[in-house]
Amino acid sequence: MDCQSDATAQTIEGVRLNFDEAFVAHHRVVYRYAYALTRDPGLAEDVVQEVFVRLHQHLDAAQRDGLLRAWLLRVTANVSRNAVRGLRRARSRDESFVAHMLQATAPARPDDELLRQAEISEARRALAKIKEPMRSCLLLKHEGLSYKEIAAALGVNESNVGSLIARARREFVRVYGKIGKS
Amino acid sequence: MRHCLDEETLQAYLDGEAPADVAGAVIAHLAVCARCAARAREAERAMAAIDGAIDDESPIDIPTARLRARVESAVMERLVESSAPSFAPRNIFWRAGLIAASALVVAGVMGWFVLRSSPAPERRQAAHVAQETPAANPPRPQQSSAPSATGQRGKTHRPRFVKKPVSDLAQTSLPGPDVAAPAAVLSEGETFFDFETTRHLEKAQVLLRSFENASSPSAEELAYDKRVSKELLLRNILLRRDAEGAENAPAKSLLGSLEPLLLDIANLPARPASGDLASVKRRIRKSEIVAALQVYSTPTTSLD
Repeated sequence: MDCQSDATAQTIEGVRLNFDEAFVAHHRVVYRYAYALTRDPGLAEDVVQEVFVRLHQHLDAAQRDGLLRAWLLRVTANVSRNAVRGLRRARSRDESFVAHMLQATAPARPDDELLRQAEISEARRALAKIKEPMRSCLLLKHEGLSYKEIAAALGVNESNVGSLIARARREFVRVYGKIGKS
Repeated sequence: MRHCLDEETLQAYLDGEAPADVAGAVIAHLAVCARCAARAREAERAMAAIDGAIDDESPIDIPTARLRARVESAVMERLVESSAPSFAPRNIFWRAGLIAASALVVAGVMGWFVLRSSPAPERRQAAHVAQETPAANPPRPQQSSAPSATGQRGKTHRPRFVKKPVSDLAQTSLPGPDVAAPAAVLSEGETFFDFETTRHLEKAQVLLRSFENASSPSAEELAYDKRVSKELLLRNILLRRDAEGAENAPAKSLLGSLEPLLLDIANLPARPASGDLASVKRRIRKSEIVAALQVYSTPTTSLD
């Protein structure tokens, strides 16, 4: 269903959509990007809500250059940044304590599963260490955006997108390798 | 292409973003340069690992229904906010003018009452006679001094919708279909809330009742219910805000419990699964809101 919707989103990019159509076509990619930036499902939902409220207010302007998805993701990045900033202020140290306790009391798993989880965790940490806008380039590339859309979403030059992705990739390999060794 | 590939060109080729001529040159170069071919393989492996990491991090389930409900509710709230008249004074003259106009209206109304209440000469005389012979003219309630045709037939005239003072409403408790206390403080024919709210509750009651009773609604019926529900939802938000502003706790509470149910109906897909319908119906039944709506949208005489 996700793939279907994303494919639809690609085919309708450049066509003027009404608000409902825009929501149906793009809410998934907005949610996934918001989640990747905030790493908090609740916060990601807040971000999606705010992004689409803004879209409702600026539906015409958002589609003026035919890059609605890029516009949505640019707003998603801005709203997520503010949301994370607010959350960091509000969050206490209790959460890390709870996470630590959960990890400590987690049931034992088979070795293979533990190894796989460790690998995933390392890859995630490597991904998290990549700086912006390189990290967002990777995320948006993964979501199937073209260089043109990525450039519009992140406010960077289109000719630099390939270079940013290549640097992000090198950075990932460097950090992932380092974490793997340690 | 004799020189080795730079990172940017290689990446654009791997991402399918290189123009056709550049892509052709890259392919030709990779066929003859072992170093660049190894770099390309390494880059592909790294991109696969990155994709895997992103996939692992991405949420599997997207809460579409909840997101849609939240977005629609937020959009409607913003619409209501933007359409509500702003009472922020733009300038002091506007405010002063409003106060002066209000004072004039109040003075006019009071003057009219004073003139009406002062008895005419003949009425004054009749009143004098009546005072002298109280037994012959037993005192009547004030409202029956000018009985209407219906009053003469032994029925009292019922005002259809009467605005209830906020202070009285605040004493009633809501929302519960078994609340009988408010009826005791209301006179016959009055409604608990103002005209607009009562009409709204009446419509909501009809919608919820018909939705709940329809065993397998057709697509047209469902589309109609959804449309009505959306209209009512917008009105509900407005009324709830009014109730909040007027500190009318019972109305606020009732409208507040009605809102999610209207939202549920409005957000149903065009062809919902039977489980979706049953779930909304279950929520309506569980909330017992239809009974509460019936109580609060009916003039008090019907409650007897």
